[in-house]
Amino acid sequence: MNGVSDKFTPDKKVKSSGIGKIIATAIFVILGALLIYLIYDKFHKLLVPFFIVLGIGFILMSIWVKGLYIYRYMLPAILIILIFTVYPIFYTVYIAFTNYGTGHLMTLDDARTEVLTGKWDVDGSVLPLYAEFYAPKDKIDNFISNWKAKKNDAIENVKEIKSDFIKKNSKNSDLADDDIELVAAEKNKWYDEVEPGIIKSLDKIKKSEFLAIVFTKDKVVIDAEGKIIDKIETNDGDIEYTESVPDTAEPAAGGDAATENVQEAEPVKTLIYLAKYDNEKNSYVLTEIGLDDIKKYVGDMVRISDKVLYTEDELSASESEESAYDSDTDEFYNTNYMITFGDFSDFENGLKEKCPIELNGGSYLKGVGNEFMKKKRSFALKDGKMYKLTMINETESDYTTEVYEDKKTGKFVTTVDGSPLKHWNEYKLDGMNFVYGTFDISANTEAESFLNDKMANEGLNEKVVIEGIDNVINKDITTVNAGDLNTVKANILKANKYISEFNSKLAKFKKEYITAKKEENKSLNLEQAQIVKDKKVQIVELNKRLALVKREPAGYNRYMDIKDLNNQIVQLKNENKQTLKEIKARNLMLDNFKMPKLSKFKIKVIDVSNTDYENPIEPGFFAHVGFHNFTKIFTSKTLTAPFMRVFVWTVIWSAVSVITSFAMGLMLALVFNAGDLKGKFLYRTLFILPYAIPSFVSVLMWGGFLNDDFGVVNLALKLDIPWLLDPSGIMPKISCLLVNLWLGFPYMMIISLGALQSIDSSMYEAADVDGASKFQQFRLITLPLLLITLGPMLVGSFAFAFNNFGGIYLLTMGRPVMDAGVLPGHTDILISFTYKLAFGENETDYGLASAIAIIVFFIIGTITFLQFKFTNTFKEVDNA
Amino acid sequence: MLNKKKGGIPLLKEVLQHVILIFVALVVLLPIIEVLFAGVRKNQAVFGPHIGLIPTIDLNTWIDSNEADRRENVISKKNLINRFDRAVSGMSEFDIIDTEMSGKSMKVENGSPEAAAVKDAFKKYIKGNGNKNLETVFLDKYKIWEQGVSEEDKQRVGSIFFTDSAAYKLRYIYEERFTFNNFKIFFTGVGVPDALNAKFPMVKWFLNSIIVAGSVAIVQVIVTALASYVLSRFRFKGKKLGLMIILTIQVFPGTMAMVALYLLLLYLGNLSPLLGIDSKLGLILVYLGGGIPFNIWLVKGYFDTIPKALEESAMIDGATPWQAFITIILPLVRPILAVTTILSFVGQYNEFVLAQVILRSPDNLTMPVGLRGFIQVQGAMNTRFGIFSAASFVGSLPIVVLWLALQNQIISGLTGGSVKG
Repeated sequence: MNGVSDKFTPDKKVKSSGIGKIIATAIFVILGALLIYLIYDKFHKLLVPFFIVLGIGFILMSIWVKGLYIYRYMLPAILIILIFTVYPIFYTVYIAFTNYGTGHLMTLDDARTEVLTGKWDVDGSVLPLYAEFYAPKDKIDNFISNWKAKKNDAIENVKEIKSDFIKKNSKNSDLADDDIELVAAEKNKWYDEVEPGIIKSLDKIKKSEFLAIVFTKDKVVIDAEGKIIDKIETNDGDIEYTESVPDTAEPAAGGDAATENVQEAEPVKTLIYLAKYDNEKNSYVLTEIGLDDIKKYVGDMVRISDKVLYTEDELSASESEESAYDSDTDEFYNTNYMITFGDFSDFENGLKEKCPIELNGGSYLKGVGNEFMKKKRSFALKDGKMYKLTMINETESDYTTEVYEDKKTGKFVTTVDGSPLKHWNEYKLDGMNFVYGTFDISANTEAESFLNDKMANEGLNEKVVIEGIDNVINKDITTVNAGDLNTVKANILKANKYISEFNSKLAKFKKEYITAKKEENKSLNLEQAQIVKDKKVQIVELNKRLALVKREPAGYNRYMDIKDLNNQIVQLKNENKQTLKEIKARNLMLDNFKMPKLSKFKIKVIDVSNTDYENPIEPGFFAHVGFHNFTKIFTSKTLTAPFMRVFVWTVIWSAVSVITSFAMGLMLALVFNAGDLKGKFLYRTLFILPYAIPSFVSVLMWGGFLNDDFGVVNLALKLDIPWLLDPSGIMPKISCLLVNLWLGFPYMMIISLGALQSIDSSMYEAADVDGASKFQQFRLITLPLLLITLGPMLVGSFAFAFNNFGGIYLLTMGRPVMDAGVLPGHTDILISFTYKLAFGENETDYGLASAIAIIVFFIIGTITFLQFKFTNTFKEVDNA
Repeated sequence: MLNKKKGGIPLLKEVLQHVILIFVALVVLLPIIEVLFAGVRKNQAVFGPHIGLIPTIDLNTWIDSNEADRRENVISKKNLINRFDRAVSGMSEFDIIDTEMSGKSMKVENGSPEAAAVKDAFKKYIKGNGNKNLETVFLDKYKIWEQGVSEEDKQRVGSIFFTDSAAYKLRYIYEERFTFNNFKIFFTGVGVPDALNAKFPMVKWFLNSIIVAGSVAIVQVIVTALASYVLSRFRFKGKKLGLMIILTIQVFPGTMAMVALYLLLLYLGNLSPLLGIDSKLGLILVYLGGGIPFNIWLVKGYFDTIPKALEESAMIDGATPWQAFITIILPLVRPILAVTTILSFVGQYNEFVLAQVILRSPDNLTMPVGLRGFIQVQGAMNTRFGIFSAASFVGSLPIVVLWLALQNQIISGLTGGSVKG
């Protein structure tokens, strides 16, 4: 017992050995390094588990280690403070250096990785835009075994068909048995060839890998039969199916005619990726594999349907009705043994358990895309530009299509979205014509007429026409195929070529114009030079006369003559100056003469970071942006001015609300304190009432009273004062201050009363004896003493008012607006501005909000630091 | 307290003091009285939303009330004209929309003779019709007038009223009639005008507020008492650092870290929905984090004033620190703990921002977040002020009673705590 009580004796210092210190230091260093690492790397994802582990460790330690018994008492407080006070402060600082917020689109790779590694709901409410399929090895194995079975069936079918074919064509003596044998053998041969390939390819898929088929907006066209093809109509009118490599930028053979038939099929665009498990990154990494490469992994499946397709020539002899004949494409094929891309359905059905996505046509993609957008995933910034996914428009009629080129891959993509974009005139494709706006030469009428004549002579006045664009616009995103887009590109190239030619012609015109003009100017210049010369001679003569006149005897005439001559000389000189200026200007004008020029069509990455959308994307991923948020606050054209206004108002609001309520509170306190007032307690109770009512009720209540149209203040007093909605912002500010006065004076009254009672009354007695008036007593005794006691509290109140969100937001919501498009309103203080930035109706910007919060941190911190210094609060800690 | 000689006119002075004080008190308390009365008054709408071509009666509030009810609603002609003027003066042009018929819309510029004619006709009508300024008479007459006026004019007049802002501006009137209807609406949550599909479970909000603020206050006081005891009584490693950290942290209210707190709860919500966004438990935890540092500082100061000799003697007698804490210290510090509990209860009851950020679904809201919808939702304030008043009366009651009952303790806590920092 003695030992225990010794141990628990208060104020006993625990001595620690040198080794213990070293260990403790080492632990702190490690923890610090870990924290720094976490802050830099996976702060937001790992810190909470980290704290949980830390907390559990701490609990165990304080329970089991007797020396730490003190911490048992502090444990709950420490845990709560760490998680819900310290961590948010650090996290705020962290966010301030990121672009965390909406308006960020992660790069394609990131999006895919996210799709593959993220958690997706099984009920399908959360689906990626890039509808992806993936399967572990066993699923693929299942599929392949199914496929093999089907293939065997197909081989059987081939045999049957062969016999049927032979049977049916036996009448036809022209068709040799050998020929039929040949056709059938061809089919069999293909299977024989393909099989080893499939098996071989399956070996290549390691256990840790899976296949991902990524559906996306662009690139590949697959027709209804599941073939990945480009359809090209040759000159003969025959249809050929060629396996296309859709990545090729140039359009195949003559883009004009190539695009007609493709939309008949229901195309689905496919990107194919192999997802490999990266042990280092602990996630799947996607690598894009080409169409050719996919065979390495799933065999030649895609080609199967190619092979079973009969051309008309092949089966021209056949009159069988059973063979399907497609009148549109003029083809025969036999449905019986066609193995198409659609056979992926088995594969897909298997996969549905894992990833419930259907493989379907365009409407499906739209749905998936919109689902994805509803979830509002957002995207990080990689190459300095912000990207944003837009909702795919469901309605067929009301949208515009933009074509742009992916910078990274150099491939075309179209967007379907009704909202006009910033770089509109740079790539807007308007029907068949490209409407071009900069060809304006009206500034120089002479040059204009010259140019117009020239252009009329050369027949250049027609607009630049891009053909085939109709095939691209007016089409849904899912039906625009690579061929069409390539056509557009070709046409744009053509147009650009034409524009260069046009421009070179313009350059030639310019030269002609300038030489002609120079020729014209030459004579004029000479003429004017001659005039200048003549005038110079005149000036010399005048000077001579002047010299003569000056010798004459002084007098009125001499004076007048000199004056006259001088005037003449100055005038001539000025005239010469003017003429020389003209000549110079004329030459200069020609030197700097500019002819209008057509600029080329540009297809560019659309930067939509500033466009507004109905459906804001919630933040998801973010990048570190350094001090960008802070520099934005102080240098941005749109943000700095509002921010400064908000800042100034915040300071005014805090200061004035403290001063006014203190003044009123003090006044009442003085009245109560003076002598023996009857019913003091009752009065005090009455005056405390505004403070006793929950502040949200009183602020909201005042909001109702001051309502400009229906408020009881305006109605009862028959006033028409725009208390809360005065567009200049003055009345709302006054309203805020008045309401706050009403709310705040009781508190000031209470604390003033307390402070007044603590003042020694003998001071007043002494003052009375000395004959000081009441006001002098107040000014010289009461106020200084009060301020010494209450000063720190007033500073505290200032800090409170600085963050008094409710006092502003519940009354005015920060309104009225400063300017159209400016987020903060007239009455917004910094903290409500932060709120609006982070949780407002528009796009949210957590990074910027946190940056402003940090500025507030600093201000409040400074104020409080001074307060602590003033009240020696730090000494309390030291003495503790 | 001051031993001053009474002057020659002490009585007059005192009376004057009382008069001034009563006047100030009246001015100060008038809003509270007004809210009290508004709670038992029905706020009526004169004109309804976009129903037809002409101003008709608000279906929400009028259909269920009978003719007699209607006739008690008073609005002066002058007031009506004023409101009409205000309704149309802000607009640069009127949207004249034929809502029922073809959906065609045309615009008439404000100030154009056409618009002036329409306005004049309307004012003239208001002035010339109805005696005793009875609004119902006006409405009745207006219906008759409607029958005699050309379709075109009707549309114009009607649509002037029914541009959205105008319609709302013309809608408000007090019914000078005593009713408990607002309280009924408060307790049932049914019958809020212009509610559409919105839910107003006001009793739930009230209970939520009590639950959240109450549990925060209780947990906080326990946690605080434990920590303050140790910080006040023992010396141990890191005590100064800890105190310094607490002192620094209590400076920053949770409001400033709202983004981080929101994201933290978003993350915790992934671990368990109980802790996430839109959960009361999450809000309670956040409030706890915001209040504990300040309270520790406050309570520790009080602990320091209690002589250590008390427990030292107990420990000499063989008591453990825990026993000393429970049996000796705790009864002594009860006043400050009570004050802390009450203050933190009031504080959390009032808190708005974090609740607004964290709570989402109508059933989970606290009073401040919920009641905001009665005043700050566009166009709703006029018809819902009575309900707001009733709700805020009920909502304020516990706090006000608490205050008035314990005002001396609370005041001592307020001044003491604030002086400490």
